[in-house]
Amino acid sequence: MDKLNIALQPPGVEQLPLADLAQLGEQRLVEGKVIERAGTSSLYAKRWNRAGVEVKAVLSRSELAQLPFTSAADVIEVQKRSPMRQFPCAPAAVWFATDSQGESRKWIPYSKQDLVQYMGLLTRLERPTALKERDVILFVVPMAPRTTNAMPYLWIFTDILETKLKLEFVIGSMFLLGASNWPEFTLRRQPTVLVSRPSDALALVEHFAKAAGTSDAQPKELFNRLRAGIFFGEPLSPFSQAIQETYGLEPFDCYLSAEFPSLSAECSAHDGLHVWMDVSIPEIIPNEELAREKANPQHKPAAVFLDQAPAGLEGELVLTTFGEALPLVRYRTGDRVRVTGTEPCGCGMTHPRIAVQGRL
Amino acid sequence: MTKRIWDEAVECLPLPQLVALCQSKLQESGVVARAARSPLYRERWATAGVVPDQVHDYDDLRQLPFTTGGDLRAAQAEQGLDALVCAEHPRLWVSTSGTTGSHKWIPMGDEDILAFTAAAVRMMFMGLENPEHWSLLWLSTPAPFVTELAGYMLLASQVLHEGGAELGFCSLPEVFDVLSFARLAQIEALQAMPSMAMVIAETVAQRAGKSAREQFRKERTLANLMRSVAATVLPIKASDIFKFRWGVFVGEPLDPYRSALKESFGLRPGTCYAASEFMACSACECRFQKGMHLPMDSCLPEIIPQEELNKEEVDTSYVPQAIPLWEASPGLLGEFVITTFASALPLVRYRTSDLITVVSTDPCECGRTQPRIKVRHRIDDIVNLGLVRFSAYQLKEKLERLGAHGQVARWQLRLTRENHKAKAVLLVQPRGRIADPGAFIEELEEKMDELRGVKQSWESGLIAKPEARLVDEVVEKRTMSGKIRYAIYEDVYFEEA
Repeated sequence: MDKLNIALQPPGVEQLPLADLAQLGEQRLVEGKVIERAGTSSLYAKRWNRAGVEVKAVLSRSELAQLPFTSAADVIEVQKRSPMRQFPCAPAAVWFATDSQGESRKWIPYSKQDLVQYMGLLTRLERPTALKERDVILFVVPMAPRTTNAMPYLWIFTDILETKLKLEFVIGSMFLLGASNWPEFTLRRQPTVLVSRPSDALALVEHFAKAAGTSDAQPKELFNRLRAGIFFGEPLSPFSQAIQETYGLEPFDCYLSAEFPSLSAECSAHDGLHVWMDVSIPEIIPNEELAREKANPQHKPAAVFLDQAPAGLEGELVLTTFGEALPLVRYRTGDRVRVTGTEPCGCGMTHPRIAVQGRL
Repeated sequence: MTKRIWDEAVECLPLPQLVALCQSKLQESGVVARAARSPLYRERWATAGVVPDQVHDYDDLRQLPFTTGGDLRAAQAEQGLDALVCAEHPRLWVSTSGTTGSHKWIPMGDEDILAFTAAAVRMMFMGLENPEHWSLLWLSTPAPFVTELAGYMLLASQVLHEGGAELGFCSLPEVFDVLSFARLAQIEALQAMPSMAMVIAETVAQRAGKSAREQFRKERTLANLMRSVAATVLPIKASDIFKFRWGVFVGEPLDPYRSALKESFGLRPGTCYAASEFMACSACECRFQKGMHLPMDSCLPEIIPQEELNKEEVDTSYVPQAIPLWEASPGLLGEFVITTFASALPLVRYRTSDLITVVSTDPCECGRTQPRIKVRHRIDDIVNLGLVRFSAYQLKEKLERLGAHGQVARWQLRLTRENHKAKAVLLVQPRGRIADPGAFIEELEEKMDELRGVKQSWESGLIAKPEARLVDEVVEKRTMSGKIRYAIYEDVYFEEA
């Protein structure tokens, strides 16, 4: 294969009118038989059965909205109680996992087609963050089995086969700071773009200074070509100012999770992260509904489709995705977000924008 | 019928045709002309009168001077990094593990990465019983080291080459968490360093009894009581918990661990020989396990016989003669020399410092004709204890700075085994009388612990605890040139336990 078949990307999809995007999402939900396929996974089968949900063709977004939510706790529970092999809906090419929460971590299967879709979303990072040909990327990876550990390697393949920007990568990890000279090598190679968790970027400041043989040099004095940073794994805003001050770069926030590498990314307008409407159906459970649920656990909170949500609305992000090995159906991400806008963005893209505020 | 060999047309070519293919790749890949532009080769070749355009086959290639890790390290230190990249642009840089304290950074171009993905899938076909549908847990040290990349190349190979594998990845510090997943998901194969895998097996055995007792304390049922008693009385093995059927072990000699791994995991262990500098040319054992097959379609292998190395030791100006691996007799021992066809960093007559034995150049029972080798140890003073590697000279410096409890007249580091675990024994002949031998031994052992990673490794059970012994006389071993050889590998270090 000399080119990836990124079938899920109609040309110009970043700029389709919002109504068309919502329709495209609905079409993929229906034509992809997402609910019927999901019904074969242990994550949904019994729970839906108990809730009296009939696994049948869902013909619209409004029918989708009648289905029960799925939560992280459901994933953990099912993986504890049912055979792991009953979890995927299609053969897994790889399993990634979330960070461990207490004793458990969630294991998420990806099929080959899911990986190709992941690579397709990686191609979209290049536009909003204005990557250039021959950019040198320093990617500080979290450890496997997290999805983000695989990200630079999948990105390399994506660029070799698809985008051909000739991106160059130096990959390092925080774990090996003591046993590798990668900060020194990075100084020699002079990256133009940094990709990391925001807290890792700040923790690295002293290591770069040490590598340069000074005690107080700032990265902005050491990396003359460093132009942009793409940050993931935790909300950027608490770190943003410090990162700009020390690194002198333009930071872009990026939202992704192991359950679904949504790769929602901030653009140069810096007015929220674009949520890709052609690969998911995003909803928001408003704060007041969350409060009612907290007061009365029997309350079934109502959600609003993101494209119909007013700017400023705050609440929990809920995702339905069309994955092959594990479609998420109304999956409560546990992330608190604020809708920053559903109008076309100054950057030209039409996908609605959110700010990720942190965990619920 | 199940496909057992990834590329039968190449891997099973009769040897003369394989040799011809190898030499035609040497020419078609343009590797010599490409390398000639690099400061790693340019001046040395010019001095030797090499005309790159005139290198067509092995007879021409053997006129070229050797290149060493030291040459590469020096070129990286003195030259701009861009000048060293022979491909149109570098795609990725990986780091060697830095056995001599300084890491080499290896650029890979797009062709190198694609060749590596093809090599990865070919190797799995070699090592596993059911190569079309298999599952594997890939345990690695994180970036910038190459094992992480290797795992993802394998994943990419599944996407690119329509493979049917199922993979899981794990970085070293997360290993126990991830192993429980491997059990639940019924993953069939494990890729790791042998010493790492043995630590896993030992920890499982220790923990099994403890967790059964805890379970009984929490929930006092008859079943839990029986489990607790059973776990205390019967030895629990890794194979009682994990269902790995195959293992692919890299990074250190497998033979000393082979039977221990078989016994504790109940898996069939196989091994590969790879280096960050030439990943796409990794050699791998097939299921018959009679040496590792060297992929002669992606590299041109040579060997410098031990007697030539000896001559070089005596007279450093002597240029040792290498012979092509396909002409070597079984049992021949010598240094492995490789020429790769890589794009970003071609290696031309690169002396690996690895001592190998030629197993056979005859066709293998598996049907492959690629010659087979075994890897013994490094020919320099690098001490390889698996994850921990250091130069004997680092230890020498420390021993020269002793003083509190005594001084060293002569010393030697014997590399041996305690069961399967690598063990370093420091023999010291003290200078003068030692008032408190116990304190002196303690001081010597502390010095070994100061070497990077040593203490952590024996504490976590990766290696046996190093030991210092005072002896009346250390019988020094010298190289042919009269240099003292400090690190002595005992035969048991390589042998199957």
